[in-house]
Amino acid sequence: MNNIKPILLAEDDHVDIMTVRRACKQLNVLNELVVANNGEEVICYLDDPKVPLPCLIILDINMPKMNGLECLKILKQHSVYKSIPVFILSSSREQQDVDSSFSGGISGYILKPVEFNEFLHSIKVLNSHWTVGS
Amino acid sequence: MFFEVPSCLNNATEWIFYVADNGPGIAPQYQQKIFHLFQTLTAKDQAESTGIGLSLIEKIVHSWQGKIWLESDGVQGSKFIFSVPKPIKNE
Repeated sequence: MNNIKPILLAEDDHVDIMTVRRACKQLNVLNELVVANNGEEVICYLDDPKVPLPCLIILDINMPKMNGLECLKILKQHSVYKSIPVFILSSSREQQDVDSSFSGGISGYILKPVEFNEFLHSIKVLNSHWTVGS
Repeated sequence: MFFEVPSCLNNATEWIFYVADNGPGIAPQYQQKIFHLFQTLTAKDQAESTGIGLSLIEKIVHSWQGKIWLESDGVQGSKFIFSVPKPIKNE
């Protein structure tokens, strides 16, 4: 199972990290969940030649030091990282955030639901569409 | 932590106010960013910071046609400075 690529999650809120972990566990997602606490850490992780590139990246928008949208811009300008599908996972319903995420090249925008079962459903869809076979 | 008593420089065209502290400082690469709405430098659960305050202050200063910036070496202490232009007198 070593050839399964990890999922990279950029999130600074520990409760949200635990929620994603819990959802992945319940859905038997086999991919390792790697956590970066901000955009800078995402770039650092990807730049490390010793670690495998993730099959997908999930970005929160509001994060310290480098936010999700800024990180997205850097990823999509990079010759290699631009082909990794990126999802935004945010509580922001602001049209401006949704628009700039899509024009920045994301594959999907997931609203952080308040209710866990709703969240489970979002991750289920994400998993079945994007991590199969990777 | 201490706060230096806010001071004001009064020159011909503007007033310049500043306030300084001896906190952790802000590294040069973040000095523009911290005025962006919701932009913080530490994780949500490590510091009680919303990223709202400085962006509000920037909006207020800009509404006075002033400027706001800071001086910090990113190791210790920050000095926040803002200017307010004086109204032009018609004679």
